[in-house]
Amino acid sequence: MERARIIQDMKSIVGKENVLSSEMQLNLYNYDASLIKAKPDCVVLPSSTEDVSRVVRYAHENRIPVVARGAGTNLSAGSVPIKGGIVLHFPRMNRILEIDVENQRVVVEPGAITLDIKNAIGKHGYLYQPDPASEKATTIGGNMAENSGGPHCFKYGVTSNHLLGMEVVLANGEVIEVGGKAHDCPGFDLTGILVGSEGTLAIATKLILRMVPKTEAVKTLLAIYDTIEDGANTVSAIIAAGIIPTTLEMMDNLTIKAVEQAYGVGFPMDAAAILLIEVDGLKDGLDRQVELISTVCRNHKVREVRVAKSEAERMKIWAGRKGAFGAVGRLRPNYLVNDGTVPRTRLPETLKQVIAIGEKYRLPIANVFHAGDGNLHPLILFDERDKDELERVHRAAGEIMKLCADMGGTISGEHGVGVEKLGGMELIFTKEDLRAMGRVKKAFDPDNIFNPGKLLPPESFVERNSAC
Amino acid sequence: MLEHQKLIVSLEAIVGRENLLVEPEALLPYALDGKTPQLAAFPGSREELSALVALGVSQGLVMVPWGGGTKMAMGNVPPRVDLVIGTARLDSIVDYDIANLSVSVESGMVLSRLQEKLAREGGGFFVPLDPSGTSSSTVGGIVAANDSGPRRFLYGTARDHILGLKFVSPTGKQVAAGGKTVKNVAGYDMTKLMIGSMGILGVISEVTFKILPLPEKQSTACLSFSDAAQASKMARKIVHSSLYPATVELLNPRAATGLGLDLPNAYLLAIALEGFTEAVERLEAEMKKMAAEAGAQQITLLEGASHDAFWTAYRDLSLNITKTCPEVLSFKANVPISKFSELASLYEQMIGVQGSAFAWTGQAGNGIIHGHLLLADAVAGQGEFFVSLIGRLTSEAVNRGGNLLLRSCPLALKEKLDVWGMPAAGRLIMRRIKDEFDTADLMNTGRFFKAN
Repeated sequence: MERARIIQDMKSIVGKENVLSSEMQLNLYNYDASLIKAKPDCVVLPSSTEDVSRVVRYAHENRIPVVARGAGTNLSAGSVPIKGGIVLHFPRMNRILEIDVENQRVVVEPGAITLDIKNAIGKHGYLYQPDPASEKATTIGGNMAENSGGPHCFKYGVTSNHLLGMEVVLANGEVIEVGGKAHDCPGFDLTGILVGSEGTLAIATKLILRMVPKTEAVKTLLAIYDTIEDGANTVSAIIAAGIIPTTLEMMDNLTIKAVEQAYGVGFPMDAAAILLIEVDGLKDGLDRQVELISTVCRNHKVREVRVAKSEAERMKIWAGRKGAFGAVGRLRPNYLVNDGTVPRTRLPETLKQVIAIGEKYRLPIANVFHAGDGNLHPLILFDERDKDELERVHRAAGEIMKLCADMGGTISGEHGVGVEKLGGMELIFTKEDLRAMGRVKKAFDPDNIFNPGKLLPPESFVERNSAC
Repeated sequence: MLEHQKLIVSLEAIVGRENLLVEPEALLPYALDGKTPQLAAFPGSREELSALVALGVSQGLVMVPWGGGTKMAMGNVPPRVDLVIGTARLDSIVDYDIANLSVSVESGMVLSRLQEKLAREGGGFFVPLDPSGTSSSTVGGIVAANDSGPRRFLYGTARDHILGLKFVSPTGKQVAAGGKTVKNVAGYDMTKLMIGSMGILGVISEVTFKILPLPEKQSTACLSFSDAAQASKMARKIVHSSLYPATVELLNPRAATGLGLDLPNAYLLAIALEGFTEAVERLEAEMKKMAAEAGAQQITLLEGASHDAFWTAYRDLSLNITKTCPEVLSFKANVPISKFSELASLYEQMIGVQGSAFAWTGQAGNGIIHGHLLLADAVAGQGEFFVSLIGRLTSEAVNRGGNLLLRSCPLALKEKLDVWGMPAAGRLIMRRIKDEFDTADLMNTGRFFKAN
């Protein structure tokens, strides 16, 4: 369909003030935090479920791609409209609709910022557990689409463990509710299958999240190591000691230096690795847990264990972790971050090989990651203007992905497949596995209008009206 | 369809004569809502399972997966049953990675057997699931039925503990979903789709669980109240506190006596406390204090063997009730947590008027009521009344933002009802998923989507 016509029709459906279509505006929607770029035909800013439904129905009738976009922080090109079409952007649907304290649920619109939601319920003494590092910017709709994780997922799980229901718009524009404030909605777990579906099955217009009472106490430790292996080995040893911390985060020397130079949070510049460990719960017994952890660290040749003595000290340590990507980003013009995940027992050898891959392709790699989950985040640093280097980056990234698959892990722990990891899907799934996913796609979106070209390798799904 | 003898020969070729049941008497225990299958086969490997399903599809057989049989009362009445596929022989451990906190087992493994093995490992580990049917529920059945127990208050349900699973699709193909890492967003979360799918999207052959270290100390504060409202009030206080016990379970007097333990004939609030020793000791003290303030009649602390005995009896309550009473109607109602106590009281009134004994247990922190109507032979000639009663019980749950499904029900009633009470909105998309997976509609036909 002709672009001008789409724009015209969109203006008549949602009003011209809610449609962006100038070249400059479209250029603002041609990217996300991945390396892939593509422009939409137009951008629509819906204000209501009805707007979304009408736009989708139009797109369905005219076979136009629809890509839902949150804050555009996606790391796998999930929000880049690679087949053009309509981008639905949600800044006007960012309300917290209801904080239902008695039922421990918060109902929000998809454009609500994750941290805003947490702050709002925090006033009532409640928590929403998932904590993606980019929570200051990310929208909850984006968290849903990508099944976002974060440092505290080790104990508390990812977005799908805390999202209990949604109102969604289906590919034909129909609006349905899945799940709800109550548990165990009869039938299939549609909420479960939609979370992490990267906008390819349905578009959420309302989300119901679980909120839980704040934990009584928390203790944060910083363990400093002279070798990366000692740090990595400590991770499994803590768990073997019967302790499940909320967080087990690791940073390597390159990251430590970058963070220290950027924020001056007090990390020792010469450390090979640091582990950020947090335990929470009732205050009773927490000091003993800290002591147990310290002992495990000492058994693994830790140089020093620091325990945060105040909330300010704790926040300082966390600022270093949460700002790590940004700090590393200052070192070179670009970085590519992978998020392959391995069984945590394979972490030490995987790390060793990641370092070897960096050396092989002559690329600096900074590691800052969720060690407890075995979820790596090697940040490959480069300059995209250097074509040779860019080529080496892609090869190194591919090799790291394969390494994680070979270790019995997966190609993505929390950033999604999008476009960037499509080629990796066959490293971990058979054709039958992928065909089963294709069936789900077909049941929800037979004409492939929702975020086409993402998540599923093309051969695993055949569109209804496709010639083949 | 091949004639019966030829079919037997084909099945024998897959599983062996000794793993095939063909005699009507031998098949009687596998009757489903009065429908006896033609045959029952017990594959010994994933490959055999796959070949069985492929044969079943090619012959147009209606197939029913069967684990420990504890949940076979769930589901609508099937129009017919041809082949029962039993998972009893699929009971080995496939991958045992304690340091990774994961374990993969075949679907026919009885959960309690796995728990026993994990408990002996190092400092002890466990799968944080406590569904009904302690000694017979298989991993595959628990997952397919999405069964859960009181400890879900602290630990969550199958969707929170399963890292991956394998299944044989309704076309006989082997499919793997998820993996063995805690985080995994590669592709659709197919694991979630299979949890609670009641065997209609395929037969689960293997499950990978996330495991946890056993708590250092466990005990249960068992508090009795003369009045449900007092108990509920205390439950609410706990649920909104930072105390995080493992369970906030309420039992009415009939359920409490049904446990067969020496417990007061009263409303019982059972708060399981687990974790590090200091934390559990603190919780015990808090519970005693709160219970006294709430007007509890009796405060008992169950530890060691008495703690274990209580929760084993609790998990087996529904099975035991079914054994002691010929006709039982069991339901599960889910509502937002603030509606829990008013709905439980309302149900007591509604059912009390009818005159049946009514045992219920409820998870105050999750808004779940498990109700059991002990009907004796009361259903005879009263079908319409009960259909209407179930309709009213359902409406009360739905009006409060919840739902109600029947877990078991006398056949005479079941034929007149849809046991799932599925919401109309999601039904169409669920049906489309089913049709994509099982084009010939042969897996558990009619039990999930009622035959028209």
